[in-house]
Amino acid sequence: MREILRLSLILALVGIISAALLTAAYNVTEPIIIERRAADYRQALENFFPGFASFETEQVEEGQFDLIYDDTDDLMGIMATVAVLGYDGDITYNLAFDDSGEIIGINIVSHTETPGIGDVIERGSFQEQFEGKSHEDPITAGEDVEIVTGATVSTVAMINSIRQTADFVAQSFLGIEVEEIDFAEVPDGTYQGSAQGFIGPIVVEVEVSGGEVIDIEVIEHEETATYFVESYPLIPERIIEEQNLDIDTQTGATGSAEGIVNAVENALLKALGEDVDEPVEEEPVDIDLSEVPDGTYEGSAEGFMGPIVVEVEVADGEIVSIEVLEHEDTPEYFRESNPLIPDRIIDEQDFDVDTETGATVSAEGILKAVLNALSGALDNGGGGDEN
Amino acid sequence: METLISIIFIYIFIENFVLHRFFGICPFLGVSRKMETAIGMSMAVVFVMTMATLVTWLVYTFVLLPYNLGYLQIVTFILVIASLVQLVETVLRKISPTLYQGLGIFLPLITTNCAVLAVTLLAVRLEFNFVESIVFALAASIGFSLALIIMAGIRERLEFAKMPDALQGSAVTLITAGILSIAFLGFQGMLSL
Amino acid sequence: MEPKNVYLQDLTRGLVKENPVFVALLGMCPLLGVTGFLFYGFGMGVATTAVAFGGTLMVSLFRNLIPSQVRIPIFIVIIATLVTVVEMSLEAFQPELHEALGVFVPLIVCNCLILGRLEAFSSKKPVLRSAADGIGAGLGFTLALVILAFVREVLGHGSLLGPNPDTVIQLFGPNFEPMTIFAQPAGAFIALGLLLALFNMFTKRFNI
Repeated sequence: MREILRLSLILALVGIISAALLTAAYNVTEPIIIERRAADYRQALENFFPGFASFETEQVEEGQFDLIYDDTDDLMGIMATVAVLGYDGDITYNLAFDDSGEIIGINIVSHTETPGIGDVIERGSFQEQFEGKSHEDPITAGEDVEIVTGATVSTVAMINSIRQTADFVAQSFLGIEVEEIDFAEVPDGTYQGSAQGFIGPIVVEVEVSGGEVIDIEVIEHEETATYFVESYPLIPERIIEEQNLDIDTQTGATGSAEGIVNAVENALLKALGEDVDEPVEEEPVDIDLSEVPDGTYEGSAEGFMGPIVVEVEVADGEIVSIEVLEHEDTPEYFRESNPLIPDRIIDEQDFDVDTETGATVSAEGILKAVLNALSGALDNGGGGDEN
Repeated sequence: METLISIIFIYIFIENFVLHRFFGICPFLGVSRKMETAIGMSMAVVFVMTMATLVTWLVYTFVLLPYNLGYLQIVTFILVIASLVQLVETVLRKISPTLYQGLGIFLPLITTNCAVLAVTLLAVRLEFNFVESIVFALAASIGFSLALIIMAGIRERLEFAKMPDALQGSAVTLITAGILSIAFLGFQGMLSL
Repeated sequence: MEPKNVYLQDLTRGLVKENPVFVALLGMCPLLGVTGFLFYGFGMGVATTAVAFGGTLMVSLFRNLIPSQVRIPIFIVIIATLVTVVEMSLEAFQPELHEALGVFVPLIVCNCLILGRLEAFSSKKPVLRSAADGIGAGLGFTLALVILAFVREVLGHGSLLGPNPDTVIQLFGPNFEPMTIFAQPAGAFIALGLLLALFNMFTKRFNI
């Protein structure tokens, strides 16, 4: 008995010493950590608002918002500090707005994303796409900003968070009315709308009754089936359940999810009599090869990351060769479609080729570029090289 | 509900704790030589990991957090794990001596299984709620067991394979683990939380 | 006082003959988890050596006061405390490294490497020797970390001293496509397995 008591006491003693040591270490390091964070923050403020004099902090549920003033007490802008759940934990970042709600820049404060993969959010190329945007811009993945493949969770989380923050800042601090669709104001009826999905436009039909969205159906899409099933019918179900467009779009096919949401938004906007920017349903271009004069033609179309430029050689009403001159797509993806798609086009002497590869967007881009090259040849009335 | 199912699927296959996240490699290498030991260790790990996460989550939420003692996380969690293992050992010895014999020395080894500590830490760092943490621990431990048992099956055959001396033993086990990891890569991108 | 070369032995034993990774297969988890980049592997090595040094020092100092029946929990508490201090220091002075190493720093606690030294050596031997032994084990571990990280970063990213854009050295031209498998978990396993095989060949040939 005494033995157990003695042992327990010794254990307890060790425990107490440990706790004491740790508390001491904590009290030493915590102020350093806090000071460093504050210094980093001041540095970020300097970068975005040079010469600022003071700021006023407002802490709300959405995050911390600092109103930045210059030395004449004019509002220079707002610095938001927001945390969003990324892949492996929270990403905390600063978002700087000027006084009209336009984004000046982003600063990542901390994150635990995978080095070499998720930390792409720290790169200039990702952050720069937000500069100059405001609540008036869609700031939507696939529309005006790009996700980064291989780091979709990290980048989509950031994009959605930035969009929501921009809207929030405009509404709460700058008194700007942010367009949000009130379902109750939409007249009963069935409306169609479309928006860009991951690969191509998604067309939805939305049924509204009694101020509520009661049904959403996707009537057309070009998404890859195995991915699309991750978002449909899940996303329409969420919209109907929450009677709101601000739902979680992180599925295994987030591009499609965002497309569906935007298509529904466009449908409802049209119902409210607003102008919308919808993707133009491209008329299936049918080119009669026999009408294309012999020659070499260049054409370009949008690929996944940027334009694809092709050179097409035609002789005796047949496509003899197709060469990709330029592209900006990731090499390991692009080679899934090139030279496969050019080969298919030449084999079939037709444009109705299967474009489902491991890089369908690139494939579609190559196809469209070829079509553009040949339409250009026809438009020009033929003859010779077209540059 | 769908979050829970996602958690189960993700942590058993997509982010397998051994093959993708590198937790629990020591026992993975050491215990996977024979199928019986692998199964024994698996059961022990599932039990300890789940119980440990349950207790540490409660301790963190109701003791450490409210008193701003978050920095005592590591010390308290490992102590909880060590005590739990000790407790399980003692109880098992009284209740089921056969099972105790079967598990043998694996029980105390679980204390140094980084997977257990990792799960308890991640459960609070990823901000799971109580139910999610338990499901998380179950999924992680099942994932660990899955990898362990597959590896044991493979190693039992490897025993009889001819190979250069230098490769024998752990070297080839590691390479095999690498190949297994590549196989599990097939699950990538299927789901995200 | 022991003859000088005993201390040297204690320090260098862990490098090759009893390298904790290649011989005893300890500390695998952080080894595979943080060796994507040379900088991170080295950082983890330093952190682990610090804990090993502190742990062996303390246990050896108090070896006559620690009752044998509860020695394991006490060792664990000592290691856990040191690890927590190291994590706090990293967060304060090397935030980038801290973020990159993530949850692997706390996992130094279950690195059997340290517990093993405490149990086998520090609890019985005098202070200076124990400290040397601890540093030696840490150095051996760091060596393994650095070698693996070097291989993985060069092959998997084509760089050294990354991923910080201020310090990174791109070794090959812009058209170099790295074997990204090595930047991933699978590649870590394979690289380590191959290194292990190499090490075995090396020791057998030179009869170390």
